[in-house]
Amino acid sequence: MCRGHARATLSALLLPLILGACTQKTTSGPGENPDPSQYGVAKLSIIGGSTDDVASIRFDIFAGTQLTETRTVALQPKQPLPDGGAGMSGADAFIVLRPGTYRAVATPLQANGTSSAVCASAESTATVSLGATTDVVLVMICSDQGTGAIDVTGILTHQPVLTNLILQPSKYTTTCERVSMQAVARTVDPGPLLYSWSVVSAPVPAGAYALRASGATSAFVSTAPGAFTLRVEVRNLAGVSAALTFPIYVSVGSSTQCLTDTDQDGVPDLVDNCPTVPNPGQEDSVGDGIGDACRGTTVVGSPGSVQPAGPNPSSFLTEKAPPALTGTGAGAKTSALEFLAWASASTVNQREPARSIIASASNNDDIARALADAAAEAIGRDHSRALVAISILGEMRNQVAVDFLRKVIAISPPTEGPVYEGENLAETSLVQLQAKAVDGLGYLRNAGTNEELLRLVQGHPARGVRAEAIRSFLFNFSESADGGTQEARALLLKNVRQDELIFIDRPNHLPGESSRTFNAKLAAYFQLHPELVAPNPEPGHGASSDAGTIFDGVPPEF
Amino acid sequence: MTTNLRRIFRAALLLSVLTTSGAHAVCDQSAASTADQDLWNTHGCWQAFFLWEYRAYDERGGDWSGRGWNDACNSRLEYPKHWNASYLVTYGLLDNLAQSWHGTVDYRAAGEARSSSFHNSLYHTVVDDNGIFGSFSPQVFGPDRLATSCPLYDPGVSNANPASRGGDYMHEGWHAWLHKYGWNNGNVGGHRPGPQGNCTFSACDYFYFHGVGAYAFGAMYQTDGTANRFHSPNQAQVEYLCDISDQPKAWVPASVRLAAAADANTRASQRFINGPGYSCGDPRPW
Repeated sequence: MCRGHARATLSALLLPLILGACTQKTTSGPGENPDPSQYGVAKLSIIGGSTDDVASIRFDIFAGTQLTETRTVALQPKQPLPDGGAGMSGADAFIVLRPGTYRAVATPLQANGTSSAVCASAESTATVSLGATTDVVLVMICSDQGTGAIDVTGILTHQPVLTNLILQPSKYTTTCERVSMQAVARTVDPGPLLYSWSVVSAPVPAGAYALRASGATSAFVSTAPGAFTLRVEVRNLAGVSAALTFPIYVSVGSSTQCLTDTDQDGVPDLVDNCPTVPNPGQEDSVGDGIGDACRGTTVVGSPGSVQPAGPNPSSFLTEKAPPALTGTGAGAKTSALEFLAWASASTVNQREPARSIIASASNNDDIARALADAAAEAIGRDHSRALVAISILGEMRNQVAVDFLRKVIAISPPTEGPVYEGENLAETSLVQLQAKAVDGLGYLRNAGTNEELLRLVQGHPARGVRAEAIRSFLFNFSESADGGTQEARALLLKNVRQDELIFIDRPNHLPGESSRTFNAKLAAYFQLHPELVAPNPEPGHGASSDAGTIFDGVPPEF
Repeated sequence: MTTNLRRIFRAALLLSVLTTSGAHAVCDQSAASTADQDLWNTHGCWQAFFLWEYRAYDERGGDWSGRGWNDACNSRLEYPKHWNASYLVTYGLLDNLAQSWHGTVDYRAAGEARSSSFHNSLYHTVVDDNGIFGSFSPQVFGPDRLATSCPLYDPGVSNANPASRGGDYMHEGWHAWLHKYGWNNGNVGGHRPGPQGNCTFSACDYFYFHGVGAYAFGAMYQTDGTANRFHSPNQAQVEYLCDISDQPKAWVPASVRLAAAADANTRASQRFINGPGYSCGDPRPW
């Protein structure tokens, strides 16, 4: 029943269809990681006038005789025609396909899923190229009228992949009628996607029009008729982008005066995501088209009461496989630095694999030297890098590594630099590194290092290091000699300072330890040391008396 | 050789403080610490988050101008480092009822700007000062003021990592709690004078010990007015740091967890009059 494409005379369904390309598969499900650069995007549309018994449209895509994709879309009523005709209904589908030539068939369906009794199927052939999108508009005929038309536009996509573009009510609109747009994109890389929207071309002469964009959503309105070309670009954190250009056809509507801007924020009401509260940035942290400024009164004047957008990107983090920790000379240095970077960023689940790799390098002095050099270089410049490097050196149980740890532990505390509440900040940085070095020293678990730990317990100048030496001694001594905790305590009691006895008894809150286990340890600790119970807090003179006080601040010099 | 190494270490340790010596030198904008960068790499420049964060922490353009306010994706600057730490507070905790000290809901309420059971409205600002970590100042008019300073941003300093920065939000936020409810925590900048007891510094706190699970998530602000149910600023800070160290989301990088444990344990051993209580983190090197 499809006979030609005399669009002006039809009383039909016009079905826009966009076809895109992919070389691997048409869709990917959870857990699949196809190469996004192999994808394109496709869009099919169908519009028409007399819908009769049609409730939905089924788009079937055939490669040769093989059905590759089926999509059923509800019919949207009254989509205006590009040339100004009105009263047309239609439907859109956005489909990802492999490159090739396809036959697209649009079949009108009744509400019960059977084919329409009065509207016929329409079909068209379209060639889809890698990374390109083809826009196909089909006109489907009802009764004995009508024609068909194919409207093809090229649209590029790259990694990341734009998988859908939703236009409400459609790309056919009238003056002063708002078109809401939402881009849907996918990426295999972690991290957020950034969207930008623009008007590429407008009719000449163009009337006033407005485009408001906020993340993946945007809105467009024009006061004058004509064909506009818009563009949405999606970019990942690496700067790789995909773009889609698409038309919006504006025909004459009932009004041409509609760019009122009530809140005078530069965004006309029709496209403003919060028309009554000035928000020139159009922030929309939830991404639902409603501006944050309008999300109740909790946002403006009450900061922090809106939940941050989620899910957070880190939850999609793909763990990197650990590099080897091998080699000699320059190769060892390269390997050590790569491993250091990996280990630093490694996840909780990668702790044991990291330990295994470090243990496998325990006989490699070149690796130990390279890590020691990296640690030395980072001290004072990048504290957390130094901390990670010293942790790895401690885990190595290597003589070169331990020699380096001893040197770190032996550094005298700095006497210069800012002091805050009696705390020399440079000294605290050093103490943290020395405490971690002590963990490594103790982890050798031999008689010599046990003796060294006891000497540190007795005589290291920093309390934090002495405390860690006690912890390390208890942890490693009891590990090395089963049931040796009491013996370890006895040895410590001979060496510990009187005012630091509590470090011997204090419990360690271990990762993964149950509350019952830890709370029992804490209760036992308080039985041993009732002096640790704090006195009851004291009421002050009321909050108003604090005005003018700077807590933790250094009073200005007089 | 050892002597030479010591000299090198000493010179390097002091590098950052000597090159910017003087209490009001500007913060180091040349780099982000490894821990900051590692965490950053898990989320990248997430626009929706930092647009939320500046409102959630009530940061103002005038305060953060030249510090990344208009360059929020530049991880070397203070504002991106600030929202990196806020990201860790917001998403980084496991919220394990059986093992965490407190929940995300508690730490967020303590650090964020909004008025709640934890404190009155406050805003976050930044101060060029190498001599302090942060401060809290109640205001007669408008929100109270929470300021963070260079040692939380300069990568050579131990506290310039997202865990310690967030820990300072808890510390200063707890001064705000004390202020809201009118508790007297001492007259040395809101702390008790030291050294005394097990505290080796000039500003000290008590640790009001409680077991794991003693507080329902969201109830950290509660007190019965006795030492059985109370928190001090350093305590709130240590509990947050230990939760980051021991109960983090799996994706929290090792550099952040190690820095959290190191900060918690040095602070616990030196800041509390009644002693260190407990240690956290694994005593095994890695």
